[in-house]
Amino acid sequence: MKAKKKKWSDYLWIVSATYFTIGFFNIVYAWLGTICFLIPLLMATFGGGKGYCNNYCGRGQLFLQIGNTLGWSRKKVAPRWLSSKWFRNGFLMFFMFFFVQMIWLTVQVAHGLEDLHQTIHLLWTFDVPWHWAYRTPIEPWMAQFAFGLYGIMLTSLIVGVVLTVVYRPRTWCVFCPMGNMTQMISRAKA
Amino acid sequence: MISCYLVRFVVIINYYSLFDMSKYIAKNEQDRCVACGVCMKTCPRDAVSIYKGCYAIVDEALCIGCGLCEKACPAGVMHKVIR
Ligand code: SF4
Ligand code: SF4
Ligand code: SF4
Repeated sequence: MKAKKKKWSDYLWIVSATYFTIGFFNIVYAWLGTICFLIPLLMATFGGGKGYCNNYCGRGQLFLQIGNTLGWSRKKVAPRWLSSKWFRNGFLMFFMFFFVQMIWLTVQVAHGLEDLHQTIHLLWTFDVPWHWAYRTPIEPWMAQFAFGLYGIMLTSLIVGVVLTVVYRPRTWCVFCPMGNMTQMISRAKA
Repeated sequence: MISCYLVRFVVIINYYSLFDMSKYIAKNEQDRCVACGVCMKTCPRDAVSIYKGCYAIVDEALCIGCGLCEKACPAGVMHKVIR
């Protein structure tokens, strides 16, 4: 069996790794994460199906690199309930709750009702100090959004890596909110 | 008796090689598939495609039943079954 030929899009995990690295040092770059939310939704809406997940998602590829190339994966299948409708949709709602909360905080900071939180909200629980990443003076609300988004992205990375190690690479994709939403749009259009 | 089984075995083997078909094939639980595309990326024969972003479909003519997709599917919904 011949090995599959690699395309340029098979290297997008490098983009994802770069994103997490530069965001660690300068939070402004966390804004680039909005691309990971807009492109998949736009692709699905305009008939591209789950083309983003299937070919272009750097985060998904990062899990493959860790699990397959580095071999840090038990390669055991995850519990079956992970792919059930109630869990996938429940997780989507859980995720949306925190997303809306993040937007709400951004709005409050923009109106001067809240001070800028220079922290990253990790794993939906911990507020981790992250002030060193606030280097470029930008509007407080823009910084707040950047901190919020980076927290969401880093949380999904941590959960995804843990699942990759314990189960199979890309187990996160089974209930990833973006993957779920793009599949919903695709189903509605099919 | 034994020769009878032997003949049957040979006949089956010939049948599969004649039509270039394997004994196994991959089947997907479409209602649980998350359309992530891992199977599509894994398949050495490019037998899997993702139908309009909804679920994976296996091209029966191309699948050789190697089972690589079953081992890679993170949701555990791809199965190697007897053709
Ligand atoms: S399911 Fe989520 S993490 Fe997986 S490829 Fe799609 S967008 Fe990326
Ligand atoms: S790897 Fe599994 S869940 Fe993903 S598209 Fe293939 S069959 Fe569906
Ligand atoms: S069993 Fe092998 S050939 Fe058939 S679809 Fe799966 S990976 Fe492809």
